[in-house]
Amino acid sequence: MKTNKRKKEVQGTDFSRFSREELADAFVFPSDEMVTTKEKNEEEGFWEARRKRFESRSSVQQMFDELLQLKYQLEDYIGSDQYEEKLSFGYFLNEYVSRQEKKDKEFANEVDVTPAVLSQYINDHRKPKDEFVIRLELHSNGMFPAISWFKVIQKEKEHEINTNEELRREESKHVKNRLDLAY
Amino acid sequence: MPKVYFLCKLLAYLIVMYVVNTETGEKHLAKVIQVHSLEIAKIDRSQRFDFNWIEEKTFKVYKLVIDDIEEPIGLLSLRERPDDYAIEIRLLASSKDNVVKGQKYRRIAGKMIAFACREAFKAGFGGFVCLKPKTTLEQHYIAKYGFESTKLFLITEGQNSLKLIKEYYENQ
Repeated sequence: MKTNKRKKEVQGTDFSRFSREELADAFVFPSDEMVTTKEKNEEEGFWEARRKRFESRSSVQQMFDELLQLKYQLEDYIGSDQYEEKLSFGYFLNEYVSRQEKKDKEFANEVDVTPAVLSQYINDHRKPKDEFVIRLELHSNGMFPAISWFKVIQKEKEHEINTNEELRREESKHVKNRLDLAY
Repeated sequence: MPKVYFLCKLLAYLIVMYVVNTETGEKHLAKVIQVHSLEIAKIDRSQRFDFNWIEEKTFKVYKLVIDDIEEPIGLLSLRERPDDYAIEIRLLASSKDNVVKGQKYRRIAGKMIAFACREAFKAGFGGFVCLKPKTTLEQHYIAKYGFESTKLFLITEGQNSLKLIKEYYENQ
């Protein structure tokens, strides 16, 4: 182990060859451990202040943070190959509304649909029209682009078409003269 | 059908990042992927990166890869601090062949810092990311990435973290 470490040190980059700017462009160096009691107390003080500040955020700031959290969770989900039934359009829409601490009726009014229609969207009983996802983009001031909502809907459709055996059986009677080639 | 294809293409630009080959100007799809213990050891043995990455095994280590090529061009070690609502960058390195003159790909560190900011939003920490800089480099991190200086750490959160994500994910 010691030999490997020494070998690594020998072959490591000579950092003195580079300017400080170049180093900052390529690295974050390992930090020194806090060793003295004073240093440790200072660090604990830093984290205590951090916790206090976070926990006393304004309600607007908290809402902003929670919406960004949702945005990136949604983006990760639509960018992944995984399908999760729970993560439907209705789920993300409900999160979008509730993280703003709005009543469904109030939000329905803001995007000009009836509360009944909004409820159908949230409960995945109705597929949203293009107009509605555009309204969501506009309502979020671009934070949640229409294309992201569209992709969630598309992901559900992809899953449905991949797994709908009943429809395959049903449609089978409409297909004749199938390719007689091994595949 | 073409409409759907077009929308999917657009979407790809929303959630991925690219790195530019400085020689050819070609854009490459870049992804940040978590690396597990065995691969950390393998990467460490390759000697393509400075520092001892084996010591980072107990933290979350990520690699920046391009075009699904397994060999990374950047490495990042993060410590999640849920009790403090923070993510700490412990260590970050561009691969040796991508450090300054002659580098093939640019902005590797910025992309990995932006990734850390995105993770800090996803975790519900308001984008709070910190690092302990070498004293001599502190001003460069502040100037380049907008970090704010405290006595012990450099920090970024909120709007500055969002700005970094936009800069490095969306402005390729």
